[in-house]
Amino acid sequence: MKASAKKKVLNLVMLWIVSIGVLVLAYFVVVFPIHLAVSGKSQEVSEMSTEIKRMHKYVSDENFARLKERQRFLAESLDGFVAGSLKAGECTYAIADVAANIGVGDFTTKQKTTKGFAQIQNCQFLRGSLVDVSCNVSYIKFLRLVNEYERSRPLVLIDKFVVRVSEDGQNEIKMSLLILVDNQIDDIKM
Amino acid sequence: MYQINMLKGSQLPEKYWPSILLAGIAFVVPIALAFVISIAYFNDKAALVTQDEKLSDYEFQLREMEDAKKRVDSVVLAIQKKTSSLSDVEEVLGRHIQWSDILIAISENLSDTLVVDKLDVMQRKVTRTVDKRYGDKKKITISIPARTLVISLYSVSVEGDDVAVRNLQRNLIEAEAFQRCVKDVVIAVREPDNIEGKEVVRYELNCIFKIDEF
Repeated sequence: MKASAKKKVLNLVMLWIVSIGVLVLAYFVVVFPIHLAVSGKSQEVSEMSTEIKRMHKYVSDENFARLKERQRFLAESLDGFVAGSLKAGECTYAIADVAANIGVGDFTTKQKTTKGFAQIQNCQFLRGSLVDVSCNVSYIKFLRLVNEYERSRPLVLIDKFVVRVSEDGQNEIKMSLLILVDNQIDDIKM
Repeated sequence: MYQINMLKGSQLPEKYWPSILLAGIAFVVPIALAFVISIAYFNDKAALVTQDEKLSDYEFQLREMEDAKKRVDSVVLAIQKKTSSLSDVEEVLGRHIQWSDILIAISENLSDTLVVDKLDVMQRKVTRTVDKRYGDKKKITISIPARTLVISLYSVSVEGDDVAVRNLQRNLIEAEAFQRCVKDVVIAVREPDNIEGKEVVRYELNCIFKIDEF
């Protein structure tokens, strides 16, 4: 190959090297950042799309109705054990009513927690209403009374008791009772 | 074949290089590359615009659903609270005794020769270190009741009725209601006593309740 041809080939190669260099530079300076931005946005769109689908499902009427039903079921379950704080003042009446229903006479109740409710250890959502009761009944009636309290709704827990046979043959009963009170009331209006 | 070189090689015409073709080759590759890069650039630009539009649309949809979300959130929060309350109930029930079964077991196993004149639930507090159920997962010390049911009874005969008392003790230990929550039943007292002018033998049975499960 003659020198002039060599020179031309050399010029060609040089031109390619320079132009490829410029293009690569342009790619990294202009195109690549946009490409990266597109990838990032793509990820964001994908996540957002998933979130939108999840949110549509979350706020759907079916889900709302299902959650309401669950809330109602839990509220009913809880009502079986716990008195709402609005009813807490009626605790002593509820206790006395159970006794009256099975014919326990001479029944006295005394609320131990006059200022608010007692804290229950390691429990955040419940408080306790402590009530002392005393009465004079036969052993059979005492058994019925205990049974009724343990079956009543809300539940009446018997913390401790003393049964002493008095001189007239009746059993002198003293009991410390605990009624659980819901610490947080929320309405379940639909 | 003979080659007659009259010019002795000095005046031979130079070989012809197709300059236009060469120039074409020279520029085709860079132009093609530039074209490809440009397409990539404009594609990405267009994709970016489309994605921005999509994002705006999604954000609009999310804003639209905000009220509905708040409504559902309030129900979810109420469910969480109710579930926690029920968990608290379970905790409290675990610390209490169901007395009706215990009392029925006593009356069912009591011999005719024995008279119960006192039932007393004695309590002393014992401390236990347990996991805190709410907030930070620390250990806390709580006091729980250690209960003993004292059954005070006497035999109607002067010499006592040890056999009936031992039978009562054994039957109570074996009773289902006692096995669930009573650790042991022991005869703590056996002594002569006087009830309304009558000589009797007094017994005391201590039913010691379990506390390990708390």
